Amino acid sequence: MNRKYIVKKLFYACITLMGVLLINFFLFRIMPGDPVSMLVRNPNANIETVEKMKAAYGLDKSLAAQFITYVSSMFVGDFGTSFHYNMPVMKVIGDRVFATILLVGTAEIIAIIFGTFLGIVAAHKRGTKLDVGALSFSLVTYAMPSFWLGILMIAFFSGFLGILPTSGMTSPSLYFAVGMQRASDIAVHLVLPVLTLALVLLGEYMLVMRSSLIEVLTEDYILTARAKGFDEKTILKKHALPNAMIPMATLVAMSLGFVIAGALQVETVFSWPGLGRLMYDALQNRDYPLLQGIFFITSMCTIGANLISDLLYGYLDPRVKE
Amino acid sequence: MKENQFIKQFLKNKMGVVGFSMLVIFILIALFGPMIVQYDPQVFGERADVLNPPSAAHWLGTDDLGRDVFKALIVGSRVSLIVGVAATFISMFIGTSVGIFSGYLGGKTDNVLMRITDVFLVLPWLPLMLVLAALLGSNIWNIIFVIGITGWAGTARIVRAQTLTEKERQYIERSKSFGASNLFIIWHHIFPNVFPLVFANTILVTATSILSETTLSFLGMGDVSKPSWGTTLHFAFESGALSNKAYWYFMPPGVCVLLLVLAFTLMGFALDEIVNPKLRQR
Amino acid sequence: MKKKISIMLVTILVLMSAMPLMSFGAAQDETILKIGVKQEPDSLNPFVSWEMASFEIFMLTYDSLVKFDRNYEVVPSLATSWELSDDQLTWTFHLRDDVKWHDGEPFTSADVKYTYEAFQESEMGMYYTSLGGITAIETPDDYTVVISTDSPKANMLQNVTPILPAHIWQDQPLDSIADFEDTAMVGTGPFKFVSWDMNQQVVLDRNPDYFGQPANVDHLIYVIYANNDTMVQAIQNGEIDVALELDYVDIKSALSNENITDYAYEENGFTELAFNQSEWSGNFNQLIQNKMIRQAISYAIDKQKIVDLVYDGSSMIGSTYIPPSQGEWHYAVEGDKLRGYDPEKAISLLESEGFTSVDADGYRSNDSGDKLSFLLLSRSDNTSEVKVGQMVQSYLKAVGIELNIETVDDGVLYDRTMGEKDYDMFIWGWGGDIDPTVLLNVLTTDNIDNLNDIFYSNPEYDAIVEAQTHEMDRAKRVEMVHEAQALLYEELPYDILYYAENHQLVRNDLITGLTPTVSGAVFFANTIVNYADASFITEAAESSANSSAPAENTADSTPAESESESDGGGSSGLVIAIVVIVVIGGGFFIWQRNKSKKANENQKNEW
Repeated sequence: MNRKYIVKKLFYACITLMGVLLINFFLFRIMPGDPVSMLVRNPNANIETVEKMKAAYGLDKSLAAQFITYVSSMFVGDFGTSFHYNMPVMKVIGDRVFATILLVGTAEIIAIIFGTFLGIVAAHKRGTKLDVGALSFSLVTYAMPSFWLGILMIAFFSGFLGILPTSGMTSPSLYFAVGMQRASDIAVHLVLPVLTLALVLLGEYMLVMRSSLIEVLTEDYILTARAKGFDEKTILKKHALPNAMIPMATLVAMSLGFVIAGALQVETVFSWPGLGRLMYDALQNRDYPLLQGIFFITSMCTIGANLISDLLYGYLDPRVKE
Repeated sequence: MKENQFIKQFLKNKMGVVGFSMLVIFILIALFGPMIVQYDPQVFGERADVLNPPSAAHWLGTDDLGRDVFKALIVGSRVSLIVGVAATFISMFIGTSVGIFSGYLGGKTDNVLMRITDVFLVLPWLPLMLVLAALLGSNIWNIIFVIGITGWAGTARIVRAQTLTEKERQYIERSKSFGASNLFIIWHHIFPNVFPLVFANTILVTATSILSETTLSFLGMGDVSKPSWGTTLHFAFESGALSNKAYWYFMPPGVCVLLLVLAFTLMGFALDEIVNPKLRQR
Repeated sequence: MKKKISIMLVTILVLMSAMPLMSFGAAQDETILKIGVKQEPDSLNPFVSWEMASFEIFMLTYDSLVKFDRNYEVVPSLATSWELSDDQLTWTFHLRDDVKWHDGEPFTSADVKYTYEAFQESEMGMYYTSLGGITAIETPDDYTVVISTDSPKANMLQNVTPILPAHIWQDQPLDSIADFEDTAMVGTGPFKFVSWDMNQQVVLDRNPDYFGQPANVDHLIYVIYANNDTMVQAIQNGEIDVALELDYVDIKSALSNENITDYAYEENGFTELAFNQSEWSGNFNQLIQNKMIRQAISYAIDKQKIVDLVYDGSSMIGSTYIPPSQGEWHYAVEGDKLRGYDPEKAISLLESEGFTSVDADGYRSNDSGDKLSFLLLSRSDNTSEVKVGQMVQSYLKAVGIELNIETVDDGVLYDRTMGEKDYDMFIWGWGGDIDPTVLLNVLTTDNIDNLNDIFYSNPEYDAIVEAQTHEMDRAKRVEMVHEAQALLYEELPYDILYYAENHQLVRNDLITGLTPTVSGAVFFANTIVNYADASFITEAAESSANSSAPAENTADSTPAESESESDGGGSSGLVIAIVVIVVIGGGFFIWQRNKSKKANENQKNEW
């Protein structure tokens, strides 16, 4: 991997970022439903109030002027003020990031571990009942709408068994709890959403791991290794797996953006106070600055993750030489 | 690969056959079901008909407006299938064109097209669909458009990669030296060769499109006048089917979506094994 | 493999040893009243916010000069007494001299003067219009406020503008007052603001130094739910004590639970089918401006069946503009004038208007080819209204009127009603306060381009609405308000579909002391009396309450029950928590190992 490769990837990432900025700005400006209008359904608001609100949020200026303000303030990390919460966008998002990272992070880890494991077992024992079982399981979870899986979870664990909380991150009665008590309260609330999200992610990871490993197992160097008399376990562990993991790394990185999307459904069903639900609420409230902020940050994360995976790929796979 | 050879291989693949049979059943239901069952979403039950459990008269019970859930599912299958297939068509058209032109023409065109593709790949996909659906309004055509326009980037990437390999083949060079136009080469040489890949991908994108439609409808962005399975789920979740333990209302539409998506996934999976020889059983 | 298992075992052991610690920490002496709500405050700045949830919090953290009791009678609050001059233009309020702000500063008449003037000058917020007509505010001494008005102000005592602390707010320039954040929310009220975690909860603490009756509970938490079902489930599991803003369909499953009391009340508002009354611009069907067609539509709709199916019969069908929950202000239409469900009458009305030819689909048009085909907008985030729209569509079809439906969100609906006006009807609702003026004002010509979302203009109506605001004789004023409603009922700019019924659920095994207001509601009822009266049924409360309260509720509750509430999630939850932590921990371990191995392998790999 040479410097030129890195520089090129970095350059592309910057261009993508600019594209995101552009779409991000204009998409939300052409949205119907002037946010200030949401205030006017109030029987006591009047036209002067509306004009004042518009001026206060800079909505009275021209589109071009708004764009320039937007980009320049973006560079100093100012994403504007949320219409709905009347607070800096960065603060609103910052308050929610933890919940999403906790949910998505835990679910990702579980999905990666079990997905990879299932994939390896299935590929290794290809054609056996184990393979068919693992494959069917993954295909079913892959085909399931995640919100529906969440509803089933609620119906079963909460409605039927009555053992797990269905919504939120903490119990209201433990609001003032601290330390371990709080941690265990959060953990209990975490179970269903994490389980749902992990199951949804797991299917795809398993399928990719399986086919990637099967593909590698047919490579010449594996045949050579077999010919040399290495036992199957060594071949799998030392020779096949490292290469088979490469597509997994890429997939995990690529799916980051999709995961936040998936978290939107899960967070909505379980009222989990994360970025996904924040985004859904922001859409309902016509909170452009907040939506822009979330779009920008999730896109940034995905671009960053892609960049890392590209560089990782270049590092792991000696064939990449562009 | 010759066509009958392809069919032979497909028939050998159990998953493919299962998926295909499931799809055929769904297509038959969508085609003839609405003709057999008489269902008008505008005819409501009486107050006593609301959220009734399954019975001989209503095989899957009734919904929150006293209508038959089973009949709604039959009629809804058409909407879910049409939206899924039509949106996929848009996605595949854009994705394949961008991929082929980008890969074949190379240079600046390639760069520009790929950067646009990148932007679509990194924008959060579901939120983008939600925003666009809110922007355009919830009728069935807009939903198809929104799902189609947001779902092509992955295809473009794959097709481009395949085009790059095809482009290097010698006969392309030869055609060029005979003075064949770019469009001619793309249509007659490149496209037929990337087609198997496009086809396999289409199947998988259809699965995603159907899931997207269900999700959009569930989140309240669906077309209410043409209720799909997702719309049914939306009304079930929003009108207390869960707390009233009306399993017959929120279980069946989900199962239908699951089975239809599974049908496409199984077929896509089988096709992948056929198109990609390394995955084939030895 | 062995290593993995041993690590897991260690993790479990460590967690097990921590268990006793955790259960000790669960003991809680302080009481928390947990109220489930669907609506989140939009802002906690009284100049900005307008939602009910914020209004309720302002009532708890701030005080007004006067307030309402359970029967909606005006009672003293910050003002102990008041007089009205003989010319009915000058009000004198005498204030309490023992009130302290939450930060310890004394409350004086300067705070009242500042607050009223700030709202008037900034012209912002939901309290601004209730101060209309006030021309001057004088403060002869620290505890007297003299308010002058330009004409008699009939709703002076219905004005519940929260008094803000001048020493905190007055340095804020009024043109940027919207951006000011009083993070401590210093007020004089019975509760102190603690925190607001968006989409999760708003937390308030009891103010022990409150000049009125301090609350019994130590903390008050509004838990914000996104979905009705989950909220109902939460109160059944005992996660919350009170659940608000529910429809009858939502609570059906909870009604069989004997620990839950249902307080039903009629919402102070209505849901209407609104008809486009704006000047014809070519992008809607002008036939909707024919009064007879509107009346035909009204006859064609079976409102009772809509209420039966969508609300399971629990709401009242609509007739006139001011809801029955406003008592004498509501005008009850009698006899022949009342339009019931009568599709034949609808058809005959349409035919007498010339819509006699019927096409293949059953839709009517007149001889000049004008077709009865309309566009209805309904709000996508309100499931009930979407369903109502579908039902209206099928009723209109039955009499030969085609109705196309578009579901849009609030923002789009607002834009299209105020901007493009490219619709014929929409379904939406209004909510009022205790005085009818706020609702009546909506359809005045003055409010076109503001609240008047259908651009209705009727000079006769305007005159009646204006006159009633200056009428100090209540009986005469009621008469005028009725007259205004009769006019609207005949002209039919809005067809009032129903007055929705709302439900509040309370855990009667946990909470006692609540008495519904005249409206039927316990909370969110324009009064805060029930927040002061609410108390928990616990051992401590039982012994102290024994002397005063009749023991009807306390008798059947055992201490174990109330404890189980904080314990419920505990033991089973803990086990699950441990499992989760172990899984995550174990997973991390495997992942780490895989990674380091992979890194090692990669070097050898390039052969």
